[in-house]
Amino acid sequence: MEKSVIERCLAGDRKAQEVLYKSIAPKVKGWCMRYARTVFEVEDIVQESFIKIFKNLKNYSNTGPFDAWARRIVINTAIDSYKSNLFSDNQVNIENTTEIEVGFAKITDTVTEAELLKILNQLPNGYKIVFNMYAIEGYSHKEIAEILKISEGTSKSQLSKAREAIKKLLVQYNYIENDERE
Amino acid sequence: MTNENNPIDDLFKSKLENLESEPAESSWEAISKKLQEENLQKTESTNHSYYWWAAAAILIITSVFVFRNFNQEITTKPNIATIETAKNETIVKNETSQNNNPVAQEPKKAKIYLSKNSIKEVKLADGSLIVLDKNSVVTVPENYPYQRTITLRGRAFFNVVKNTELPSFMVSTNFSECTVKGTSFIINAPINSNSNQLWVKSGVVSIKNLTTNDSKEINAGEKISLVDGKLIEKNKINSANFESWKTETLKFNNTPLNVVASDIADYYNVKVLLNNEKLQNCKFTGEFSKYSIDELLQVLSTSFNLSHDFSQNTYIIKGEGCK
Repeated sequence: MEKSVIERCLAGDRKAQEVLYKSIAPKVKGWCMRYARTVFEVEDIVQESFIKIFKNLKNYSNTGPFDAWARRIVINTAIDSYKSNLFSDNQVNIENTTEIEVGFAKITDTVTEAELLKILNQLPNGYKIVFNMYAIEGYSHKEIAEILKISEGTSKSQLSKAREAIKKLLVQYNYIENDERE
Repeated sequence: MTNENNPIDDLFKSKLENLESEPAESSWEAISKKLQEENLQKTESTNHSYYWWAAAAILIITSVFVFRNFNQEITTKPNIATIETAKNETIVKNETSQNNNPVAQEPKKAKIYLSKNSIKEVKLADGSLIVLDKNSVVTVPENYPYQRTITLRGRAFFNVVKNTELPSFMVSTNFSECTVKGTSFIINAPINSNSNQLWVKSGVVSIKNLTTNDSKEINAGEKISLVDGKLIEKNKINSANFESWKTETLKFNNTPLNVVASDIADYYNVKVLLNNEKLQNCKFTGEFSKYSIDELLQVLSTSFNLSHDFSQNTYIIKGEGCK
């Protein structure tokens, strides 16, 4: 992101705001798509994220990449949206479950982003958010526990259940050859 | 911040971490409107940001009169405030036009267009058009049309605008690469299959088999299939229904019932079997636009005195047949 665009945004230049929006909007939507459940939810989170990005723009220090800074805001917005829509039946409270080994022979390389999103969307909310935060965002279980206000054990169990569910769906859609008996 | 490796995590991270998708066109309008609403509230309270003062200074210098008007009106008539901010835009326009394209300076990336349950049109910068069938994906390089290589998973119709100054337009699938100048054609590269099909509507398309590296030129009105790494002999398009997924219309013109059945199967994504060889002698003429499969079969049944069974996504058509 160019410094001058950001400066002009801060000065309230709508044209510059639009330039900034256009340059990162596809990415922002991509990030939101992993968290949200419906197209409406995606749209809500995208809009809310941009409002926060513009409101907090003065706090962007220009030291790190702009994308990374914006991404943190978007992911936090998505997590907040998840927290405000919490359904208790999606919580699995098993302490200290052991990691389940996920071994599979081969993933067909034709599996597309759309298919993976579809699979992600079929997971219960609790699995989905922990999987997103751990596997894609790179948060540790400790961080996830703090952010979502759950125990580390719950975070671990949600993750391994998410992986198990994903594996089943991958097998079901023939994207991997199942090398175990179910 | 990397966690220990797991193949499922890696798969999702590699495919979805940098997923991009074009937001709805109305999205920016909504955001811009909300921002303006918030700004209007803000103008009444004081704001100590350096940039705000800088902006104010520029405004005062360039147009004291407009600015005063603006401040007076906002509390009562937000509509007028909108018009005035639009004027601000024209004031700074010259400055913006010098560097309003930060996207072009970023590393070369691709835009991904996903269609889920509906057919989607993608209009490209050079005027070319992609019509994406349901559950299909195309990726378009961000610097298109300076690089015109599109990847496709699923089925799509392409209408490529001829432009000799631009690089060749190429569609790449897992198994083939099709290169064209200006032309229109359909490629089907199903997600779960190792076959590709190509129908050329106009112009010439050169298809390259990525398994063997051999190429073939396909002319308008011809089709070709690629199965198990081999290009099958090209032949004439014998059914108008290669684009019915796009036109939502099935057309038959003295068409044998077995061809009708296979077109129906393809269009409605079901299996259709005939229980009697003599049914192939029945020829059907007619056009169905946005019919349900049951309505369509009803028409066929009346024409040829047929009945049908349905189970497990398969229709079995029964009848005496024709001579």
